[in-house]
Amino acid sequence: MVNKEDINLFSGKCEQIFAQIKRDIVGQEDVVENTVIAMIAGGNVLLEGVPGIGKTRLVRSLGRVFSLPFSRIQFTPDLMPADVTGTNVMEKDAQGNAVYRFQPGPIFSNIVLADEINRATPKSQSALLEAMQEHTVTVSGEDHRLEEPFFVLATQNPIEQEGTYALPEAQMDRFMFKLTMQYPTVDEMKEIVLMTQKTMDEVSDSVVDGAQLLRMRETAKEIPVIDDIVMYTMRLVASTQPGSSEAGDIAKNCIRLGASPRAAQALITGAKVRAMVGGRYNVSYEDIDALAYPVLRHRIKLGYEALADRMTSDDVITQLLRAMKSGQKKEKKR
Amino acid sequence: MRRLAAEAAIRSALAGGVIALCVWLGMALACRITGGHVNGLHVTALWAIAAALFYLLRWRPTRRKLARRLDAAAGTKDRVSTMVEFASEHSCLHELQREDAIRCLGALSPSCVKIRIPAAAALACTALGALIAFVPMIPDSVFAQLPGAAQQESEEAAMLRGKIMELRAAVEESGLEAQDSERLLRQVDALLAQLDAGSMDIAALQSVREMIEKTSQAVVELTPRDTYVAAMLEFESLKPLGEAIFKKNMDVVTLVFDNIRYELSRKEDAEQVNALMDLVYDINASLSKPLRDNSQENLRQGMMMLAGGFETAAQMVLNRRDNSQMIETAIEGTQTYIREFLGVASDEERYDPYDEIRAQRAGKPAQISKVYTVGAAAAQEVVLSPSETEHVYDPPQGAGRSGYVPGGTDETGAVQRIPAPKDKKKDGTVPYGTVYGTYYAKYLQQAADGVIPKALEDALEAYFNGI
Repeated sequence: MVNKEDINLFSGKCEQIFAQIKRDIVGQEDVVENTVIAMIAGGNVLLEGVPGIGKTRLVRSLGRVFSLPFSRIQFTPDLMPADVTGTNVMEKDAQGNAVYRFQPGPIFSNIVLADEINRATPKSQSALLEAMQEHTVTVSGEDHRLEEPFFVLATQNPIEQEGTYALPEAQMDRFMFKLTMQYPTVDEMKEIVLMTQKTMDEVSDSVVDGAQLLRMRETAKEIPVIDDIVMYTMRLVASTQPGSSEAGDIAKNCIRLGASPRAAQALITGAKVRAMVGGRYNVSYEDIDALAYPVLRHRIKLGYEALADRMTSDDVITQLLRAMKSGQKKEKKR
Repeated sequence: MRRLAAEAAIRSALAGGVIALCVWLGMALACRITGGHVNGLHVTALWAIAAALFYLLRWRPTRRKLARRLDAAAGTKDRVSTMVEFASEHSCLHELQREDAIRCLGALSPSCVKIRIPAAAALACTALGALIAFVPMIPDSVFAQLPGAAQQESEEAAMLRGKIMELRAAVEESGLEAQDSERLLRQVDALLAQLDAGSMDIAALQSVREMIEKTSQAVVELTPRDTYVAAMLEFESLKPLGEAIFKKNMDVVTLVFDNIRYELSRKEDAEQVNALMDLVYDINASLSKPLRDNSQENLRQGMMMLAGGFETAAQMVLNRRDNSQMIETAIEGTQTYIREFLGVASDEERYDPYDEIRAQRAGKPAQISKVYTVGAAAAQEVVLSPSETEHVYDPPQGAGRSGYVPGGTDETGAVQRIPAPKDKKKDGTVPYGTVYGTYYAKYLQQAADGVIPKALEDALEAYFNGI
């Protein structure tokens, strides 16, 4: 049961987290906020952005702020699954007998940066699947539990698609959010340049440890959500599925594959954290709408018609939200 | 909350207004098309109240809706909705949520909740009001051009034209006097011309309809009756007498007069005057009817005498004088006229079937039983009516046997017997005329008392009328 202390901890730590990250990251407020939300909610994040805009720095900064072990895996085409998960190595024990000992891979960390994840082969990419969803790693039939909290932050480059392997839908679905990092503005860029003249290292201090993060996660889960908002979320997710009764013309014409129930889970969980981060103790429609983009954009596969019209997932989500709002207005009038 | 309540009231009023104005507009148009007049204020008011109440009851906002509305209006990010929905929860987080929501609401000014007046409803009310005001200004020709209206008018006109043609035929075939016939035909032609002129409004059609009725009445009034008896039959009070005369049944005539006498004797003062004058008016009206056949002049004279006598009798009542002798004289005199007209002997000169038997027994030749001394037919030999020649079975009187009273019992519980009269015929029959009056009087009495079973009424009436 959540008590006042937990709530105060959440509120206090949230402010500190953002203040510390701001010391390392200039601008990108939405990305930072959503990444923190995902971390508190226990989800993984896929960061998409051109090189050099601070993806890795963000993850390193998060590792410092949360005072959690951080490891980085640079995904390359020759990366093997064992390079990610670890492997059994033969050793000699005290009696001189040969024994197998599990040598954990870089995944055994609290924060994992899967850099340029789409450069690895699907075989290696899928090594992350089990870890991301079940927080376990199975090597030679033996399960190895990952330490909580566990958070994967993958990055991928939207350009230079040659020699890359697009992430399969199953893996995409396991990312709670897909965040897109934009170029910084001129002022932001100036600030970045001036800041990094002094030192390239992250300067943020640790404000939250793993246990506190888990407590924050438990606190956020207790945030009340009214039934109308839950239904709204379900309808929004269903409206992305072309075969659903909730699907409108947009879904039927523009979407080939819709979002799964995992998207609905991510929306509600994320919205609860977002509400608390925003200083509220209730989820609002605004939280759902704001999170619809990071939650749904990588779960929606556009159809040929949308691609031909050069529509992006975000355009489709905007239209879906608009359709939901007009439907809601009609319902209110009734 | 007050603002929301005010909004609900305004919305209900507008909903009621829209419905009521629709009803009003409908009624105004209907009245305009049909030419009728309906005071729609009450109906409209009722509809308005009913619609407003229905709107309030059916769509009154729930607490959740109100909370949602407040959230939307005040931008409290669903704090109020959550507070309302989780009002029964008492965890720390819920308490904090409630405090947060109340803090947010407290910081709001009531003016941020705008009263939203549905523009469509307000617009509809205005438009309907304008339409209602416009309806009386629409020219009649617009309604006349409506397919429904045109059809209605043409149907109405066709029906009236048919009636006029029937009337014309009736005038031509009625045998009216030439002067009357021409006058009525001119009227009919004028009506026809009016109808042919077309573009008649509702009022004009109504006036044509009334004129047709008046002309029809005039035709009926002016059409000569075949006989005076036919004229008598048109009046309810003279109908029994007319029927009796038509059937040449003096016995019934006597009964009718007895009845008149009896009815008059039961009344006094103004009541009797009214009864007398009613009869006088009817008799005078029957006398004023044009006749084709004047052969019943003596009957008319008799009725004239009756009217004169009754009028005098009525005057006597007003003068506080005894009029019984006058009534008696008038009835007696009229009966005499009728008897003469029918060629029936007076009571004293009535045929006695036993004369013949008595004469046979006494060895004397039978007397002529066909001597009448009164009236025009007195000098002629008249064939005896069946009532005087035919015998009917009547045991108590005819055969000297005892009869019994149907259903009646004496003190001992035995069937009540009627003692057999002495010195009567042995075959049990009597001349029909000797019992017909008694039977008929009994029938009339029982019919008046309503004791005759419904199923037998027609049969009995046919029986007595057929004799």
